[in-house]
Amino acid sequence: MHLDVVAAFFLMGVFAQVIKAPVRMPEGLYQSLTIFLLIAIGLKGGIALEQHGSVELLYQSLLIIGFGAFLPLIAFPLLLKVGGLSRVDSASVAAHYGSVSIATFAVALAVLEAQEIAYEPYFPLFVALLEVPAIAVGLWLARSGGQTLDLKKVLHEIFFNQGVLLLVGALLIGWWAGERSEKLMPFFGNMFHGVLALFLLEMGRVAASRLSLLREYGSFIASFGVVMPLIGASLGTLCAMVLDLSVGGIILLATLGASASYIAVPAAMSVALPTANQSVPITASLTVTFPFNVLVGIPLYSALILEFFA
Amino acid sequence: MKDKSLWFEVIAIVMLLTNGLALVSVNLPGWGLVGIAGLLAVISITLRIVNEKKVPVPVAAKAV
Repeated sequence: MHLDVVAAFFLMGVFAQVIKAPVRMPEGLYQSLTIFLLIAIGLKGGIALEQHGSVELLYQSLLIIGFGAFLPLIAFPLLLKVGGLSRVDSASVAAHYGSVSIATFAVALAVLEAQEIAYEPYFPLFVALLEVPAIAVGLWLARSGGQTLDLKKVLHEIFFNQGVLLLVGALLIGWWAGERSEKLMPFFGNMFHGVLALFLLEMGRVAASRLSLLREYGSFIASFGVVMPLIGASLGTLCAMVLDLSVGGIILLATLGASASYIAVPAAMSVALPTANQSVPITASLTVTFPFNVLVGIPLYSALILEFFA
Repeated sequence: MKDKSLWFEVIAIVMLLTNGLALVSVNLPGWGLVGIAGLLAVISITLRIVNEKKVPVPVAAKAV
């Protein structure tokens, strides 16, 4: 199995935590790395959007929004009926799995670039579009269970959380500035892989430190955290085929479908659904789904898609 | 409810295992799925044993 060099740093972080080595990043640096990745991805996508924007992109965007809204509808009944979670918790976890992980997307980008596989360069637009609909559907699912919402606060969290704001903001700046943004790229472009490696080192440590929480939430969450990405990746592949994307685009949409949010959605859910147990979705997405996608999923999706579509 | 989640876990493990082995047989990267199936099986069995041990003993039984 081909493991990308940046993913190896994730394993190093896991190892460091398991042997209790004193490897710990300051919280501020971890936050800074997250901000860097969001801006770098958004900026790159914005520059591409300026060059490739078309009417077809609008139709593609609508389908992507539909895809993002559909994923929680699959996850919700599984969590509620099979997993036995409460309605609010099921809705919250479903929203996390309908949304996307920017770090997983960054790893998929690194893999494609390392293997020199072409993809639609405006893909960060789709990442931004996939962040929001799942949160709205999750809230709707929870609300049909009698939850009351502070709409103003909720909308603020959905559209102005760190992930969405920085990604969309950088995308718009890149789109507006076009080639003028190139002078920023020695920083946001060339350093991308190095910063991603540092980020994954810390992610590995954090994911391993939360492993014991799995005991609390039971083995169902572990199985769900593996099965749901495979369902999402299959649907992402189907959606990419409908959108007539390139091979790289299919791999990226499969990866986005498989990923689960742990930055944007938890922030929105903690405001919108304060009664939901926020620890369940973060444990599932960070401790199970993210490592699964980085170590097994992305190499698998890319190998299968290259085998059948290249 | 417990039975439903157990069935879900068993089906997930069997599907990961069979799909992983099928991929390996055609020279595709399936060992990851096989490994994950094994890991899920271990987690499922271990957590069930641990949780069973945690069930509190009824007061009447304690007295006996």
